Amino acid sequence: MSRFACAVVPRFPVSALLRAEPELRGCPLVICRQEGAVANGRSPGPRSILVGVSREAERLGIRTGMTVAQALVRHSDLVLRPRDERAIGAAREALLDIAGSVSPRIESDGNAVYLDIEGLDKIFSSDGGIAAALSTRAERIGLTVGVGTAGSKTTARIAAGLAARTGEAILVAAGKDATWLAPHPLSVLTPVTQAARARAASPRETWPALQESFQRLGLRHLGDLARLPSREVGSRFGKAGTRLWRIAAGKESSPLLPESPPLEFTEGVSLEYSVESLEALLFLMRGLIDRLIHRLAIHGLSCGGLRVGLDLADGGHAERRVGVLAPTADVKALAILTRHAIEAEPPRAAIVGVRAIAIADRPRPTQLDLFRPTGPSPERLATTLVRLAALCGSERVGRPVPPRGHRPEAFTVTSFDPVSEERVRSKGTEPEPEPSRSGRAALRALRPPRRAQVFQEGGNIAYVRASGLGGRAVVSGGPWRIETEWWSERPCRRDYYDVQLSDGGIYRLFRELGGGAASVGDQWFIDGCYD
Amino acid sequence: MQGASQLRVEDLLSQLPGTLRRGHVPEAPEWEGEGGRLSTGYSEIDDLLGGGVPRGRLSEVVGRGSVGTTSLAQRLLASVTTDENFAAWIDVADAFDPASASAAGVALHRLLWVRPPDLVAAFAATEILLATGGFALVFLDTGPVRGALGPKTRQGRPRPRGQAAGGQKGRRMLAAPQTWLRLARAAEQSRTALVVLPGAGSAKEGCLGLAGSAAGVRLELSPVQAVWEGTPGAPLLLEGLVSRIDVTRNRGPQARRQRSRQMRIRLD
Repeated sequence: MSRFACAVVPRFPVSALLRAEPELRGCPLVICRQEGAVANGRSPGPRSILVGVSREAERLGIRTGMTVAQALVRHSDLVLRPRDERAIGAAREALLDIAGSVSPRIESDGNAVYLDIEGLDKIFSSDGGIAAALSTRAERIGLTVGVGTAGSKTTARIAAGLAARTGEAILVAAGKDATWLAPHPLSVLTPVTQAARARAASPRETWPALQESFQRLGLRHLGDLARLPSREVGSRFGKAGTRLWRIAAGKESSPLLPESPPLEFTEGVSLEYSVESLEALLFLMRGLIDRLIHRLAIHGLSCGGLRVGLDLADGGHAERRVGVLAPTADVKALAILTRHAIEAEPPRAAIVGVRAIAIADRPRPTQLDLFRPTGPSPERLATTLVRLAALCGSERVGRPVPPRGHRPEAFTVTSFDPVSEERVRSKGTEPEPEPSRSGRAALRALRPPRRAQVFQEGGNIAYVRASGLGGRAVVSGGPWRIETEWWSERPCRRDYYDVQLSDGGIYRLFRELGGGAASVGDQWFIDGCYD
Repeated sequence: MQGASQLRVEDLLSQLPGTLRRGHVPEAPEWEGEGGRLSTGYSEIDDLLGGGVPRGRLSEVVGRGSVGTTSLAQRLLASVTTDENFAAWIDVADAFDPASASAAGVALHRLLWVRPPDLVAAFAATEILLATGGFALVFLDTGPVRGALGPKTRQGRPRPRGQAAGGQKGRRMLAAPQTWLRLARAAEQSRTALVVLPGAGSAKEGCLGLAGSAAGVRLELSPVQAVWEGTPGAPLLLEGLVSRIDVTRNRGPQARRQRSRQMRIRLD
């Protein structure tokens, strides 16, 4: 026997906006249609129709369908917001994420999501466990859901709608759908018929007309409808009537139409005002990143980068990419990196809408080794790398790689990924380096090389002077010539010397030799100090 | 009845060995941290330090330029990374030379190189790395700290006036004892050997250390001579550096009496 769960977000446009702007919680919030908006195209006009009303506004007598002017007459301190399709889209995706984290077979239906929960009792122990998991995970990403479970999708949807009002999950026992539905009034079918209408399964006016007809016949509850002979209901009320009878009798068995959870994790918000300061924008971004990270965490994923889309007040659009050194779930670090990305290339106009798309990536796996010292945990290391990159710049954090050519000053920095590196090395034949048996005098590099004045006597270096150092040459060795990259636009032709100065320091000097098209003449530089 | 019990307890107490009697506070063995000490790669220096650089402590290697502090640090790094441990090098001066490190035998794939733009970022990066854990060794190369000495400390020791990059805030942090105490505590918690290299401003100027009493170990290097070799008519070769090492601070149970040794660093 099939089992279904349904999670419903009550007052969906309001909930979606509160998720994007949590500071509005507790305010008498109303959502208006975009039509009738005033001059700037974002603020709602007086003739806009209300399409969503918060619980606080409802207590003040405000109802959906009113105009803004009518609502403001009832209460002048309402918080008006236009319907934010971006926030609604993000909330819908988040709802699918939650459902996808509980069951692999899910179906989206507007402000509700259906789950096939057959066999899930092995994971969640009971329907109550599934309902609790859905509620908890929804809370974590800023949504409040009502959850119902039953033997059919429609019964589960009705149960979830009622649960959203009471705040407690409703679990209809297996095979008891008809019994549970019987005492409920016919009006509980309204959301079910609305969903069907949205899918254009039945004509637009069918449900109000049918409801009126049922009431004229003295039918008040679903049990009254279920007791009628189905054949008679079909001949009198047609296909729509038969469907309603099947629902009331607990015989409805429409299958789940499975769909995949979104592969892309997007959060966004449209602003009713223009944001000009970076701080205000980052405040918004932090909220978006926080919600993205929670959604990724539901799937056991981390963030491998961000794409930030900015809608500009001049009608343009700007996009910035935020790269990370390793997949991370650190909101603070991602916010800092986003700041750097936007600061590096500020948008040309004020911002009226923000969208953030997370590039999902798997956290780095690890397998501890019994015979090796424990290194940093991959998750913590990933976060550390991101934070260090935010602090110092991503090109200044990583694994050093010695020069491959003959230019002594050349080096590269690659990503520090010891886990992958060890794995590759364990398969390959590259030998482990061995510590030098004798000590080697290391070079402290001067980057960039420091220009020096060198005075020579009889062809030998006699005196060296440079910024911050200088002295008589006590001993010097060299020259050792390097000629490389003669085939490139930047040929390297140098004479290197080791010089011990009277100040006690031993330096590596080089003379850039002239010659070739890119000749700079003979110039002396100090590029390091032996220490 | 109560009096008899009291007598019995006193009788039993008197039979306890001396170390367990009332009023005696047993001395706790000093914790050396998991993994104990990290070998420097020079057996003589390990011997001086009682096994090597201690994990979970802040150590300092100080000396003027061209005295071998970087060579000693890279040898320690090579020893640690080839033992399959991870290490990090925080390089404010951007002076780390991968070619030298590779030649010294450092397993560079186990080394995280961080080049912070200033001292403030360097201290933050050090704290981040210590909090991450899993690194056996973290170097903090503060870059040039000129030897021009500031006001003396209470103990009469001259304190270097920080002149490294990082502006006023960085200089204040460099001279503040609480900075080093905090880092020492973080190193202890993560069981990481934190080694500070207060780079000299120039070869002429020395540095007496920055961490003060927060340092568990302080090695001071002073030059003996640079060894040049060559035959008449041919260019001279820098053969190596010979330096004297003094252990001016070594807190721990395994500290040795002998406090100084000459080290020869060869340049092949």
